[in-house]
Amino acid sequence: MLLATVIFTLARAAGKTAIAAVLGSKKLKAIAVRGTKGAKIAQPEEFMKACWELRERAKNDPLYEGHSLDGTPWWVSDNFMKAPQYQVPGVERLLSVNINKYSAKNLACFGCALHCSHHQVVTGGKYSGTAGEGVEGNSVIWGGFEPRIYNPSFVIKYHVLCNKLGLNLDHPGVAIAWAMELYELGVITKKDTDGIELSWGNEEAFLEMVQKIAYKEGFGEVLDGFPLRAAEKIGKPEAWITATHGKGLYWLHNDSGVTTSLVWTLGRHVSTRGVDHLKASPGTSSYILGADTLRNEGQKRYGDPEVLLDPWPQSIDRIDRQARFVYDKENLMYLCDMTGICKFWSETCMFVEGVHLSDFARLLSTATGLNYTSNDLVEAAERTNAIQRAYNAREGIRRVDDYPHAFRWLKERGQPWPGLGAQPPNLPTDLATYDMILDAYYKYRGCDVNTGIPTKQTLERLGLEDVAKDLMKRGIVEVANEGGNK
Amino acid sequence: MSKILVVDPDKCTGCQICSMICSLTHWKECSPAKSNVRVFAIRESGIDLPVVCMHCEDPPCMVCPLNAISKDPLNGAVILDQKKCVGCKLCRTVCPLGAIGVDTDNGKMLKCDLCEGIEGGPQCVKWCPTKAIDYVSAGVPTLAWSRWKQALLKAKEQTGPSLSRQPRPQPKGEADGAF
Repeated sequence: MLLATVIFTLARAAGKTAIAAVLGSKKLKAIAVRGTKGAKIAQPEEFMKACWELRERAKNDPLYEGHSLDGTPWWVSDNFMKAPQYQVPGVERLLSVNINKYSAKNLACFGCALHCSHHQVVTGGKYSGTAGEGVEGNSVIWGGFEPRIYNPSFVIKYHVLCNKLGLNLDHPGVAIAWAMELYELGVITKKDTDGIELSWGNEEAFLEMVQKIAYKEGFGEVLDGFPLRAAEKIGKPEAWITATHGKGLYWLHNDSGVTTSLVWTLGRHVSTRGVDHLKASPGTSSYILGADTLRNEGQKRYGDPEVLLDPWPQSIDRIDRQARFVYDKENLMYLCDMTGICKFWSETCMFVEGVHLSDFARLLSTATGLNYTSNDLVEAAERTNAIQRAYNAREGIRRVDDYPHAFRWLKERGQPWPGLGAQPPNLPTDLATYDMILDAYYKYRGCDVNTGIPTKQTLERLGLEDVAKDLMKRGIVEVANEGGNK
Repeated sequence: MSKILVVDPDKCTGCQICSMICSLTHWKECSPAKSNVRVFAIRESGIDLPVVCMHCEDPPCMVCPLNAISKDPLNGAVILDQKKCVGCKLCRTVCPLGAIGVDTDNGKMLKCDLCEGIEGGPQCVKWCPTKAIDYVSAGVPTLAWSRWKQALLKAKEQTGPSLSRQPRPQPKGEADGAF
């Protein structure tokens, strides 16, 4: 199943890229781990001091209080509903305060003082008796906004059901919403959907479809392959237009991929695993923090007070700085993944007072006794990106795959992406600016600007000679270098 | 006995920072298995219960045949001397709370000593993010008081504006619809 996830501690999942499908194909059902040993700390006093200071400092961050009390729905879904396409009656029921009315208590992941998760219990109504952990901003987006179901207890039901079935909770939401759009447009009928009426906001149909997807029954099997395989199975032009993707991974259905913010558009689409917010996510800073804070931070970090505020810049210098910003954010995300420090604690989320690059070096040095510097960590992050990009290159991913859906459509078919149904108005259609920022980003990453593949020099500088050799043997890197010289 | 440890499972988020910091303070390593505080969780029901030695007035664990366990007359702490301990586990058997653990490295017993000799008192209390473990004067009815306060606030919530859950400040978005 393409949306199977590895679930651990009942409610946390390694999802999105169907990693569990790989485990399943090897007939691996579960891994049980129980530890009785500890991790030795090289300099315990210094390490504890560093942890304490970072924890206390983070409390001054503008995001800390809201995130700690109400979790991701506070800053993800509450902002999401400001988008023009969600200005509809009833949407306020999905506000984080309404969802957290069902919260029995705050929960934390192991070793985390932020405790942004909740134990939610529904006592009354259709979904009475539903209880589970951790409704996130994304559950609200994919179980609320996308299928246009504005019911907080339904969001909890959907979230708990996905955890029980081992589904990635983003995927059924977006796939079913896509099918609902096609159903409303008349592209698919009850005959295709096994007699289920997939109209907007139909809660029962939605839940039935989730079950069908989990067990790959009938139309569920089609939706399992969303976006590309599903569009292929349906085979109608409307299906291809609305099944939008980046590198084959979905975001929102019928989303052109282009947003009002250039950094956010770039950050999402250069992600090595497909369009994604977990590899760069530069957007958080722009829609949570006030203008004064953003000006201060922009001046401090990039010497340009407007760099974090300008949504779609035109000057080449500012575009370059924004590319640098995406590069920095992406490095930080890789470091979070490598060290196991939560992305919410880091600068990724708590931009002002979260764990910065130098703090990563301090924590790692005191914990291991090895002397890490910020530069070492940046190099490690670059290496991670380079090897992922090299892997992608081997599998045929090129520059055009780093484009948002609409731009890719334009490039490949020579005509603008038509879009269907409710489209966010006034989105930029400016491919030239995107090309400029992508070029700048590739330069920071040491990639060939024509193909997006890491150059031989970059791979060798990062100690990946074997990867360079392999790509050269396949004729991928030489092609890239020749392209770069033209 | 001037101060006591108080545990409030309603406030516990199950983060286990107490176990981490306990083992880090005592053994210089992050190892919940070697901690004197253990957090038992039933995640399906949202229950997290930190179990820590309550330093009983009449400690059953002092049954120790080698007198490795003694009570500090000053702060009332029940202390286990690992040098004398042979790991017979009798104390663990008789403890009504299950607050005594086994050192996975040497098989001897592990028990809370209220962070004797460590600056700042019990470290689990200092580090607990929600004050689910607290170290308070014995005369203050903390747990009862916090439960009563919750009940009162809940009653008030149904009749008037909530005090327990002030509305969070809304983010000042500059670039709306950044998605």
